Amino acid sequence: MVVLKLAAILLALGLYFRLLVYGPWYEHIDIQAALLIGLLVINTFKGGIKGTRQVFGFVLPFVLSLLAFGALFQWMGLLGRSDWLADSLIKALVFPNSVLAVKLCLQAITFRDIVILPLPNRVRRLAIVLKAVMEKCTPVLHRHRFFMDLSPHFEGRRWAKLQRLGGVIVAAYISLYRETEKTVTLIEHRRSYVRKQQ
Amino acid sequence: MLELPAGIHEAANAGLRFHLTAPLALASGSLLVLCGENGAGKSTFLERVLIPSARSTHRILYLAQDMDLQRHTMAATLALLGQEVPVGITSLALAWIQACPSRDTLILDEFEKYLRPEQRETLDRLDFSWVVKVSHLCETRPRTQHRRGFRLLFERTNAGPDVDVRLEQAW
Amino acid sequence: MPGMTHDTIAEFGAGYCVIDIHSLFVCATLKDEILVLGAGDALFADLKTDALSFGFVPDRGRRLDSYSGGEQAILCCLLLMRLLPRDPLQIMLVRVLETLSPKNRELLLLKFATMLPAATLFTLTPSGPRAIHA
Repeated sequence: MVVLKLAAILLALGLYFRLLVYGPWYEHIDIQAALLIGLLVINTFKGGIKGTRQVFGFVLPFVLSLLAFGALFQWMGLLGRSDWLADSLIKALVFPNSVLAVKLCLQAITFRDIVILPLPNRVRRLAIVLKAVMEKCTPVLHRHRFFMDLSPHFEGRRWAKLQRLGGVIVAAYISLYRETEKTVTLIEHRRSYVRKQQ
Repeated sequence: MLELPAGIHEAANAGLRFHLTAPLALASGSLLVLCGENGAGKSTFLERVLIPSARSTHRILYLAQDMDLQRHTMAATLALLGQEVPVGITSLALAWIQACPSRDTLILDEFEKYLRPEQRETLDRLDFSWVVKVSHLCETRPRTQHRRGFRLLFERTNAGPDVDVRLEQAW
Repeated sequence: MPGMTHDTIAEFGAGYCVIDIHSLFVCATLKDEILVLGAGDALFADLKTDALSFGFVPDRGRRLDSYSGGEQAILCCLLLMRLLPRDPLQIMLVRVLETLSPKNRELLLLKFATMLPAATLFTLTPSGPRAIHA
């Protein structure tokens, strides 16, 4: 059953990318918009309004910068093209769709599935670590942003906001890396002691 | 002044309501220690009530309980300021504090566990108009660096949403 | 200096079962933690009873980082008390006891003595591991 479930998830994800990202439906704004609404509804159903707000918080900066650059290039008539805005609008829909699709598919794979799946121990441990890090690190970006926004170190400096943003991204990246290392070490350590009882 | 009016302060996201029985009005040169059982809401009070209230009027340096995470923000900050980034948590925190000349309020959430006695003295000698800390020591002895000492006692009954917060003067 | 490398498990994990306040859980929820450590769901009921004496009620699906730091440390210790063998074991508590109120500190040490009587508890000092004497 678990193998079937995993196969279905991978198939769904594969179909999404085959049809809507690298395929014939990529440029259909109506289909992309309808999919986005559908994925947001599913995400809200699974993770609540807070979960959907977090997704917005993550994708919005990218979406806004996509649209901003698209508008700028459209105005400039860059490379003689007049479809910058339309192209940016499509990307502004495809990006959150891809984030949500991958997120929902990965979330659908539970720890119980990973434990049950007939995998080599090393692969199972890697899958557990990746899923654990993914779940534990959800609040990391917000936490670093809170610390950075509160800190008075950049007050009065040029490009303070940009420096803060850069600091948050660097800190989040390092946290993710360290959390992965720690989780690998911890799971091996715990199991080495707990296993002795079983 | 470090101020907070008496009354109910909600930390809605955390599902807690803090009932402050008397207003908080701390003059410069004050040390405030937050005491209470684990899970009473001390850190939540700091982050969702006190800091949001004080940040517009005070320059706050906050050392959070999740120092293992915050250390990366500190390191990134020092790097962006072009300063050396020490390795240990305590040295990093001290360097981060000293890298900010314009600050008046230090808030420590159980930072004492990282400090050796001589490092505690170094921290005490740093010049802050207000020091707020979460501590399980609930020290009562007067500290010469602070003219006034206060305790904020947190009591939460039956793991419910309501937390009674009472102010006491220690010295 | 011990612990300065910050990775206490890498440094001491061979000889001690390390419970470090910065590295308590593999997973984000108690339900998943119990599963990943190979224990059955029934363990949760025991944990719930154990935690009650510390003044809080855990929820299997609640994010572990939404508990207070002290509650997380207590939960981790209670979980391991139920999963570790009752052999003469060396358990190192790194910055765990300092996170607890005096009352919970005493209670936790008593609990360790009851659940794992053959184990020796250590804390980590600047000069290395030091045994905790009840």
